Amino acid sequence: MTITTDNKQILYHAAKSTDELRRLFHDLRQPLNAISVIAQELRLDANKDRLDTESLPRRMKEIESAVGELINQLDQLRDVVKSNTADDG
Amino acid sequence: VFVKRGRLDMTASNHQETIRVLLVEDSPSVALQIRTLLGDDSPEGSFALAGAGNLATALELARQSAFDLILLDLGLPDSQGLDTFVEVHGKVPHIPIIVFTGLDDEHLAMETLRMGAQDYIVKRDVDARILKRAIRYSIERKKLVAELEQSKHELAQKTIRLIQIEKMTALGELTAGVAHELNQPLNAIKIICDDILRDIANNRFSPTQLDGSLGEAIGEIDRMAEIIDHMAVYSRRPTYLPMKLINSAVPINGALKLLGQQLRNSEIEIVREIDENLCLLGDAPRLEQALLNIIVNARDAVIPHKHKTKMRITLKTYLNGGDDQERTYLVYEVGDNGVGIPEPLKEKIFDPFYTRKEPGEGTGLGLSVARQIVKEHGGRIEVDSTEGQGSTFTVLLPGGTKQQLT
Repeated sequence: MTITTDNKQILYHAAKSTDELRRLFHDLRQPLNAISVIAQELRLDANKDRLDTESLPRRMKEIESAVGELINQLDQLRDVVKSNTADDG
Repeated sequence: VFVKRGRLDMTASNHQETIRVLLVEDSPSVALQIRTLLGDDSPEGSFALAGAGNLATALELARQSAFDLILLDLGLPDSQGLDTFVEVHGKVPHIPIIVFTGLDDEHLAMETLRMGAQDYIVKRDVDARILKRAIRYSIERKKLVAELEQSKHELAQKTIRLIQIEKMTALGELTAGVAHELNQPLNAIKIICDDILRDIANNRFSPTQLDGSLGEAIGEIDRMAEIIDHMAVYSRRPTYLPMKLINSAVPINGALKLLGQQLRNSEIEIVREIDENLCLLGDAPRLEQALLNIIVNARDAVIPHKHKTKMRITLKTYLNGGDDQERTYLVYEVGDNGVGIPEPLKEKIFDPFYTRKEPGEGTGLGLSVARQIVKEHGGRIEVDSTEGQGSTFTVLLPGGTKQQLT
């Protein structure tokens, strides 16, 4: 098995991309947790009949923006995979 | 590379080079004899000798200056026998050692060869030619061994990276799948939010309905979290850290801690045949995750048989010599009397995202992650199954009894 300089570079990229992917997966948890927390708070309030209808639209928008963030991050994930596949080719 | 550095160097570059030798010998007459033997300048280069009459001085000298070789008498005033060799070799493992021995303790000298000495010389037989040749051979051999070790190390590093590349390719496919999987629940959450906002705007909003919608959203979030966590495990760099010695019962007990109540609630009988004396080198939380995934798979296989039979999952650990008997495997066996796996699917079940469950019920990552973790521990998973009667998953990992491993 000979490892040429070219191969070394591919290896380097592969290792780097794995780290990047892992980080991106890890990052997905944050907005997801945010959505979860807001949804659970609202649900608890609704159950206890102390829902603040004033702030409700704002909180729903917060969920929506976290959803938007997640969609962005998923796009980034796809880009990492795509650029990596291009490297291999 | 080896030929050049090894054989050619001996004739070419050792010309007129001085070989620095540390002579550790408590008998002044023997020391003098050695000095005399190495004394004449030979065409292949000369020897510079430093002498030590006991172990302490020898270690001190070896620490202070660079030697090409140590000539070592095992019987010193402050150290005897194998201990002498172990001490010196342990302190300066990079310096080749030739052991001096009397006729009566040749077996002892043989023992030092097994422990890393380059050669031994019987004192009575020693002459200039034998001694000089032994010294040169020892130095070259030690150099070659070091180079071999280095190559082995480099090869291992490269293999690790190649495994990474392979995984990266798999990860690429996986990620595309995951992104797709995650889009669905995300869209669902978006629609739920839109609906709630519209209801608020139109004054048609009710707390009960909100509770229901948010419950749905939370369900989707949990599903996403599960997928993401599995992916995080999957994309982890394989661990090449030294793993810890753990009792084999630890990961299986951990898995049962998480699953036990659920299994009892489902009226699934658990049969345990765990040998508490077996150990392995590994990462307990990750092995627990692998076993958990396999047990979850067994649970889902027996539940459809609920009305046909008493549902049962059998967990066993035992040692297996393996086919070649050269290696001892610690075996975790997870057996069930569930639906079984059709022959053509036996390999497929380990593919990421392959699932026989209803859409939304399983991620199809459980067994794939289990196999990944087991692989990283140097083991493998085997499946034996009869359709309609049940399956047995056998996890083979390098391991043994506590006595064998410590």
